[in-house]
Amino acid sequence: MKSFVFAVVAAITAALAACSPPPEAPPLARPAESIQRDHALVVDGEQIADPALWAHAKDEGQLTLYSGYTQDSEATVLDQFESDTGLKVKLIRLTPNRLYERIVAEFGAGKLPADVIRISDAGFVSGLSKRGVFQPYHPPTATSLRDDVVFDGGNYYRTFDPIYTFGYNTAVVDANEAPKTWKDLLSSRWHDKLGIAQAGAGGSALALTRFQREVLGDGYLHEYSSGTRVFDSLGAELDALARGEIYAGTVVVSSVNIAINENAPVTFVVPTEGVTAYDYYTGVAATAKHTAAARVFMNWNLSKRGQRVLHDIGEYSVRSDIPAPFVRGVQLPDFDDPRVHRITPTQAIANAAEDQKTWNGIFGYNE
Amino acid sequence: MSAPAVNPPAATTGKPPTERAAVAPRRPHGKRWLPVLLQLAVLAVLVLLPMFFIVMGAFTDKAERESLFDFGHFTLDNFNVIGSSTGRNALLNSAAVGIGSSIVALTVGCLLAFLAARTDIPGRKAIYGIAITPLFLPALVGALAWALLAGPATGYLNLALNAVGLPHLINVYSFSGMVFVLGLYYAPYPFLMVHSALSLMNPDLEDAASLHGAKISQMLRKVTFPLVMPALLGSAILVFALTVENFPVAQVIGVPGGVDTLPTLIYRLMNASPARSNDAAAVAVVLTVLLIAVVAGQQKAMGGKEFTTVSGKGVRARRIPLRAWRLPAAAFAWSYFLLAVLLPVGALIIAAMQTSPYVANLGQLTQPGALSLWGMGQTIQSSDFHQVVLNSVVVGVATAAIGTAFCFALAYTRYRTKAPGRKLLEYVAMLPLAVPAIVLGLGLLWTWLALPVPVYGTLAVLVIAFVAVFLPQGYRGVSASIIQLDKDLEDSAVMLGARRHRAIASITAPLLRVGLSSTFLLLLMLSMRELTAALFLFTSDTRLLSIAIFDAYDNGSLQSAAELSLLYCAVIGVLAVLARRFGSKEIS
Repeated sequence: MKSFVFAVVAAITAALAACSPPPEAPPLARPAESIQRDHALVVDGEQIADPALWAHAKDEGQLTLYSGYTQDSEATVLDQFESDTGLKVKLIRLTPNRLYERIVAEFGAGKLPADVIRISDAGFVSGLSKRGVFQPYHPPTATSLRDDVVFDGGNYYRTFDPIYTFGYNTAVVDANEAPKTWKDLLSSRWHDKLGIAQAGAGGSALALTRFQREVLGDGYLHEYSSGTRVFDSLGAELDALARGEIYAGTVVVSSVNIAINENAPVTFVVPTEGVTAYDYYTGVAATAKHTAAARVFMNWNLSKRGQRVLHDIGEYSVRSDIPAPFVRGVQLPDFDDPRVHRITPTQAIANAAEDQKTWNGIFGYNE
Repeated sequence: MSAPAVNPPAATTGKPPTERAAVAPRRPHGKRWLPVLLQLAVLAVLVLLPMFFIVMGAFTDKAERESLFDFGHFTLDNFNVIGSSTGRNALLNSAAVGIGSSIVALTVGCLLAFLAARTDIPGRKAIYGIAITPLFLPALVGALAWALLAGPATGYLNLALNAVGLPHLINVYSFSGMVFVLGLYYAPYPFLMVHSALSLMNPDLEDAASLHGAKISQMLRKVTFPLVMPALLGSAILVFALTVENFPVAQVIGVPGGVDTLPTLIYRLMNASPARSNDAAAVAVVLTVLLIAVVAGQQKAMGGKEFTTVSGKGVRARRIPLRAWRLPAAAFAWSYFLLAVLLPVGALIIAAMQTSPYVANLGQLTQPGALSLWGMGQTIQSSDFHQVVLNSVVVGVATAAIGTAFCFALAYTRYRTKAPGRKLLEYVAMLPLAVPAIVLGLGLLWTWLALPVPVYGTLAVLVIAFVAVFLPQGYRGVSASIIQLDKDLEDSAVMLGARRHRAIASITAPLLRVGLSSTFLLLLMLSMRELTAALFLFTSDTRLLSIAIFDAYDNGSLQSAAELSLLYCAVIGVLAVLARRFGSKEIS
């Protein structure tokens, strides 16, 4: 009996392993054209790590990344990083709010295994910085930076800005009838078919709330809230959108880009009223055990090569020498374009509590 | 329920003083207290300390504490959250969901139990299997599967309806959807309890009714059903308590439909930014009080009544002929199996194999390339998956071993010694029955962050949590078999010169091996299935299978959640088979 069970398990495993992979999707991010790893780490002619740092990092061989960045997007970035550097990254991914709580608890207990932390929401990241969760570091690759990138003396860096807008399911919504503006979403035909992620889910949701309140007004949110399904996280919302449970809803451009790559029938819209850009921050953890690998990771993230990867996925770069992303045939407006509403950390922190309270009140959520 | 009546007379009546001395050896007063104190200390850390932190959190005002004992000032403001519309709705929903799903679970479970135990339904033996198989599908998995089956728009059942020209009719994301799914997966509990009551019932009572001319319907109404009442009431309370505190189904099915319950409210308050832990603690207190009231109500209702139906005579429960109802009854049983097991597992298999998340119609799934096992193969080979399985098995086995040993110690102290405070032990050990797993998990998080023992962040803290959550089940399992065992056997060894611990090790424990091994199996299965208690306690390196599935769902990958769910069921199934084989060897 026992051997029979094992035989069946072994046979199933073998059958599964032998299955041929589905047709390969085109790569989301272009791989590096040239990589040199023997002496220093040089990718596409840009030095990512000098010989001393590179030698240390190679010895360490790996790092642990705590990230709030969408699972698939982070996995795509890490694929490129790992194939550029050969360093292994252990990814712990949680939604930013859960990640923040986890880091505070683990750091408080002296048990934070993270080498690098990546999180959205200015309030979270500055809170972590005040608690001493980060250690200052100045990546030599961080050149041609835009404004507002380095924080708390190098404790953490704005690393990219995802673009938050709305999208729809292309299998259930005809392109001619698709919503083109934020106002279009208020039409009765989307009633009960709209989604939104809760305002407390992280920096992205708060940034969107700020944009919606400032540009579209509270009245807009009131109208939007009737007949809208509220999701605990953006990831869950996009999944429901892809499966047609909702027809339209708020989405992040890079996530849509990746979902399309996985055959999901979704697309995003650049509405006339504009889109939101929210900051994603990265910093080396004070508790890092793989400091050199962590530093290489920071160098790579802020290098032209790393920023190019983020651009390919569909994020705004923090470097002035990388253009706005071009995703699925759509050119996103330039980062400085008035249609792009980036929420600065000061604005975000000043308004977070009030925005979340108002949002919760409007959507009848966690009141 | 008749258990306590069995023991005390035997313990006190007619024993000569010498023998009583063997039971409670003459020891200095302090030494007699020692085992009880030790066990109380363990229980305090497992159960009382977490409750202390919850209660303190609920009644104080400091959210961002500098140190864990820095609670701030006394306040009642945290309870305002219950008065808010969200809180009120959550409270009402919890109660309504508990009542609704108990009714569904009891109706299904009791009917199946009656059919399997006392009728001539075709394939009677299979009915027993049908009714307990859903136990191998954790509620989280069942909820995910039903989200796939009956989600609005593209749920497989809706697509099937569409294919025959009907509109999308079913939306599981609703109050009734939640009641349905909970009822489906908690039906095995009343089934097991009522089935055993029905099959162990002394047939003399029914024969007497028949001999005096009662019709079958009269006999059932006046004799059989009243006799299974305690089992029925007991399981009703159990199912109510379990469904009210259920988190996974509420989160996966209820929340998308706008149905919040107290556990999802606690979870969400803890995940707000910044976390509203004091509000969460207040909700936790309310939820716990609600459950304590229900459990106390049951104790009061059942207290003092004798329901002895098992006697020493040979038992062969009589069968009721169903006649024309045989086929409809079988159809009912098999449709339960279809809804609780076949359809959900089928949905998980299809979802795990889909290469695109969107299906417009079922025909699309038959296209070449629409389904592939490749993803599943990749998951099985990934080292992350191996780690998660290993964690789950280690935690499950450790919980079962430590839990069984500790429950044995507790039950032994309670029923075999005269140590003072032994009743208190029992009371505290049964307390987690009324404390929802999500509350205990939260309290344990604060406890182990506060204690200067480096346990947080290891698998040990999960074992601690699971032992605490399943203490009542373990304790009941062991004490039931200790009560049945005559203690003269052990005492004889002591009187013949063996030391007490030796007598326990070579007489009592071996005689109890059936009871102990089934408690071990029960704890193993329960902890393999558990998600809620681990929710706040796992860290990056200590993720369990249930946590991995929940994370995949939370990250918006229903497909990988489905893949993992299938593998989860497979792991639980394999463990159950191995443990049963091991167990039956033990018993033979």
